[in-house]
Amino acid sequence: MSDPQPVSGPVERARPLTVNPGLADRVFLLWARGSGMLVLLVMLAVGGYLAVRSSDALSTAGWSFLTTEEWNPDGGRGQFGIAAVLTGTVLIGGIAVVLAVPLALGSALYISEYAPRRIKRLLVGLVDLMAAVPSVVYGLWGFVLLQYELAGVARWLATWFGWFPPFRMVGVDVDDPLNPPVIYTASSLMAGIVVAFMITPIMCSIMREVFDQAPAGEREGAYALGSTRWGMIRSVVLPFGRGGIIGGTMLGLGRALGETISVYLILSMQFEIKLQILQTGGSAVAPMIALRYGDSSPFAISALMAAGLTLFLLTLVVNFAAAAVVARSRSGASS
Amino acid sequence: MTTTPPATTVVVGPAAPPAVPAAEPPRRRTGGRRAADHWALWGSAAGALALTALVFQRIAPLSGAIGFVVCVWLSFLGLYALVSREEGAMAVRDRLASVVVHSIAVLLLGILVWIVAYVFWQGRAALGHLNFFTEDLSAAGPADPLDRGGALHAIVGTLTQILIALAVTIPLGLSCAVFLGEVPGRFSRLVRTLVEAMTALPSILAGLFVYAVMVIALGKSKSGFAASVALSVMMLPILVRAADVVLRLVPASLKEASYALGASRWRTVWTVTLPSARSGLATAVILAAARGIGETSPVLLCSGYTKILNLNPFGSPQASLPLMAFTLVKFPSQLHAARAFGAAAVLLALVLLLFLLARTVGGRGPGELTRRQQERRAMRSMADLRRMQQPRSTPDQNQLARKVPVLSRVLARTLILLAVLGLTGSSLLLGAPRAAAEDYRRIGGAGSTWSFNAMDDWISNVKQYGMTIDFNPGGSSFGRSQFKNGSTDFAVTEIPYGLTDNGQVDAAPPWPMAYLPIVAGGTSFMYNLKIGGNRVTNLRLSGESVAKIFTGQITKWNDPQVQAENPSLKLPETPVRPVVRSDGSGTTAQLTTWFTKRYQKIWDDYCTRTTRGGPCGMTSFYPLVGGSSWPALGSSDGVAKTVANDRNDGTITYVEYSYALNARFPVVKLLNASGYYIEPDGKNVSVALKHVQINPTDLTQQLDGVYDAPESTAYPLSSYSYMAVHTSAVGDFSPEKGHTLAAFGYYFLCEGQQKADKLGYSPLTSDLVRSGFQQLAKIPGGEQRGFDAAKCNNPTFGAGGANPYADAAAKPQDCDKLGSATQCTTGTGGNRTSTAASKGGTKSAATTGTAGATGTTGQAQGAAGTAGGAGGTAGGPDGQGSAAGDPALTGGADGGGAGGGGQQYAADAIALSNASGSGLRHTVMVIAALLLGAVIVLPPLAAGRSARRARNSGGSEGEQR
Repeated sequence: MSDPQPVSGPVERARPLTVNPGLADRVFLLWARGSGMLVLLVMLAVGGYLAVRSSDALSTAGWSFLTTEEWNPDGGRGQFGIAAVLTGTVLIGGIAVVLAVPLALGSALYISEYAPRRIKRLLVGLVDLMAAVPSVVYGLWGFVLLQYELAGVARWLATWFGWFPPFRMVGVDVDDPLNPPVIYTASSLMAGIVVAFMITPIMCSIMREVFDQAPAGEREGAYALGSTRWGMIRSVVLPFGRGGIIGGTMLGLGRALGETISVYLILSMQFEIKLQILQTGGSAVAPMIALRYGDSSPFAISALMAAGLTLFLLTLVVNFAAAAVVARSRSGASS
Repeated sequence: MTTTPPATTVVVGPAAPPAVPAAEPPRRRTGGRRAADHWALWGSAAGALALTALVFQRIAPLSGAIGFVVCVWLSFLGLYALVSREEGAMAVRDRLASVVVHSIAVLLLGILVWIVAYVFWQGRAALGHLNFFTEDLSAAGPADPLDRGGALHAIVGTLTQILIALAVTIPLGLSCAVFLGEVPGRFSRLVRTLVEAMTALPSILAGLFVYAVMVIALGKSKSGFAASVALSVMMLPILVRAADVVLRLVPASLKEASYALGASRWRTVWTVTLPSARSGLATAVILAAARGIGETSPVLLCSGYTKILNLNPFGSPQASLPLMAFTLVKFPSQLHAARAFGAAAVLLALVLLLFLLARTVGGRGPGELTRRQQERRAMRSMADLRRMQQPRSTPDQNQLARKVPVLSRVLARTLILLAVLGLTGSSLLLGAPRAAAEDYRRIGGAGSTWSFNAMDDWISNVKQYGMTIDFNPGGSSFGRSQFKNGSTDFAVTEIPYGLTDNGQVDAAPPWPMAYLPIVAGGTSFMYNLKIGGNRVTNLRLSGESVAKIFTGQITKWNDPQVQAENPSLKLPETPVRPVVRSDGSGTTAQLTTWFTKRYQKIWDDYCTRTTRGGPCGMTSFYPLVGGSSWPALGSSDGVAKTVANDRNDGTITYVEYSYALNARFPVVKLLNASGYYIEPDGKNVSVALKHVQINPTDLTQQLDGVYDAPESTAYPLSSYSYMAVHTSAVGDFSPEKGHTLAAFGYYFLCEGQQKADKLGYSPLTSDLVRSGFQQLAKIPGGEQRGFDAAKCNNPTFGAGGANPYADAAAKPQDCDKLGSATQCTTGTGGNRTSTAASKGGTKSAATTGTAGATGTTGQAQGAAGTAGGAGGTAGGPDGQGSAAGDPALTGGADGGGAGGGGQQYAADAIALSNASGSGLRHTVMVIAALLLGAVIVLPPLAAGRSARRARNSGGSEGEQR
């Protein structure tokens, strides 16, 4: 930057503090800004293109897009909407989260509080590995094996808890022992269970990270006051980790809402609001796109994009909320 | 950072009063478990196991592993809590929490192990063959054994796509992360927010975006490259975000030290920031790659599945491992399912490898060095020391010496990168011409799953002539739509363009095109029905019954109308479960056309009840009644697989005959106009299609005559499948491609037809083949080949326009005639085992009597006995075996003796046993369980209480409070 000059004597004068980047640095800055701009453009292009293309369908359907259950964009009468698919998505995501939270919470507590030190690192690795298992593998497992293994459980629920509205079977005599298990498969519950196993590790690793940061001093204080281990967990770890639990749950929910392929494999698509989770048939946005993209006209693609955009907005809100909660808890603000 | 918490559940009391300093008190153990803890734990476990086993085995006839485990667990919790009561409420809560947390951890771990083990176990058959890794699937169909065909195409596709995606995302993603870290400001905050937002983008939307832009808007054909672009769009935000986090962890002091030494910004980034975050960055890249490698939906949308190896990612479909698993698992064939799991296992192994790699290179904090790096650094310091101790050289040299290593390293790295890229590229380029050998171009098509089994076989066969044809079976509507938007070179469909479906005209593409009949076949009704545990293989139905079944009017298999058509079957009360297609399907269109033409009232009534709210006529999308629980699946494979699942008793679906053959399942014998029940064998289809009206201009079919074909051997629901082809060079479709397509057409119109019968289809007749030749001649670049019947060797070509193939159709037996007293027992479709008559004529019923009435479970024994005596002619030995019934209910001993047992059947027995007072039995069961629990639980409770009382009064050492 500066030439080494032989200085005759110590001359005291204020050095100018102007930044004068050399050519290399200028290129570097240009390159860095350029790549930032490029990424920005790519992201804007994706979002913008989806928004622009979907406006076509949205303007045709108007507000009925939110209230129509059917999905028939090529019918020419604006008979398409996301009432059914979005409800189905939220339903499946909800089932997944309800099942995954206890699993994730329990295993996160085990890893951070109960596991012997020797196997703790291994367990952390295993959970992270489980998070990396491709969703199609979960889908295969659920499609071929799990939904038939659990059909009996669904039948049991329908038989004994049929009075509970979500467990009701419509148009089926649940006491008929000749019912094939197929009526209990391909349901929202089965899709939700498989998605639950998929999001559990994601939730678990976030919760565990936060639990691990619970201050040692407070833990020891709890023990010193005569607390049992569970007492310590309840009074120190869980309150400290509340942000991590909520944030991890929401992050898992965001992932569950956008899951495509395993739900596609399992769920039997029906375009109606179906709250009976035990019964065959349900709907979700992402699998609908995978099912219908191919036989869609350009207009129907635009309708699919509108549905996808709605899903994206939903996952976006969930993810940002989750990120905010996790960030707050990591900085210790919530303890 | 934390002290090890005491591993015991013992409540540690407050410290004892300070002991006398003289004698050192024995150290109190704060960890470990006492014998009592072990006793409580294992005793409760054993008690719970015993209790549940007793309840399950002796008291209630419950079953199911899941129920057993849950019961054991719950009773264990209860017992453990009770046993621990003497330790105090806090200890009880602690112990229970500990048990719950441990069990959840075990459950999660168990599930992980289960998933991984299941995938490898199911895939073991495929993985065991070396050819699975060295061949693609081009030579193997669903029925070919596992020593043919493999997953090479998918492995190559996955690696190619992920490499391209990484080549895009690594430079861009890391640069962007550096930008976010090094150039703070409003702009970088905006980028960071946007990137974080995009991590929420569902991968299917990334796929849909690239599909809409590259395939539909730009008119490129689907390709591996498009898939990699979609993967990049999906992976980029993930990578940027992870890298950003890693870079932010680099201590500012390191960077400041670099600046203080006078380094420029890029120097600091290049020599300080990036190297010290190297391990974290590598982890970020690898994890993003692991995420991308397992994604299915972007590849499904942008590339599409093909079974043929494709080394060229630009221009034609390229499979990937997840897509292969996803595609093949839907086939009813066990072999394809094994291949699907094999592909999933390879994918899993790949992810595992990446993950281990990430664990090895990662896991170090910024600035933390491996041993090798530390050694190298020490060596460098030594070298520096030596250099400094040497006499001072001239400043020029010094500067040069300082600059060279950095520059040369940059140069060397760039060269290495270029070399790697060059090698990859050249291998791709070298591979490309090999894939398209001879003078054939690789062409792609999409469409019908109805005729897919024939298409698939032909594609395997023409591989030997150097023709590479990709075919994506996504349904007829899919094919027509893909052809119309120019992303495929041909479409296969059962119905032509221009038909009105649900108020919308499916307009023909704007370019000139022609239809080419490819094969004939029968839309069959494949079903899964058991009587007393034995599969029925000879079901007969009239068209009206079929229409009523698929419109929900017939809901039980023992519906009088169905029963009347099957005099030899004692049909069970099993509910009828129609399985329909959820995608746009030519098979659905064929079925609904038939319904509309023949059973209009039934069909219109149904349509009015569905969400359509009015008559729907012919439609490719099967309408469903609101709240219906009919399974709806996305392809012929899907519906066939659902029905072919042994557990799905009572299901029926509509698929092409070949699917039933492949799945080894029976099909319905359908009543034809002359009063015979006929199965859709190729010959019977050929007979019926004598009455088809072919539109001379475009060769499309008019099937009214076929539905009413007067021959006794005609199968009424027969039809042709068509290929839609270009007749001019448009867009991607060049004369070179036309040449290949025409050559493929000549192949399947002649030689391909010979195998049609064996595959479950019916060969085209000579006039259709001749017309097909004329259509092929219109394809640009197509070879002009004259039709020569002698060269074709088609079984339907007889002298003077005769059709010896159709004439060879076996005359139906009398037992297949409408109104016959008994029905034929021979099996149909892919299941040729005969079904014994389960319902005799009046004579055999008369010989029954005493035997059936002996035992209390008379109905059940009847099942074993009846078959022998029933049915008149063909029952015999077959019947004994087939009517063995539910072993739990038949009760062996006395049932076997009665040759002509009762009139009752196992199916009835189940219904009866359930109907009879389930309430009372369950009440007794619950009371018994409670009593048993009390017997087990109360003694220890009482003992504990008395012990405590004794202790309290005795005032012994107060460890427990």
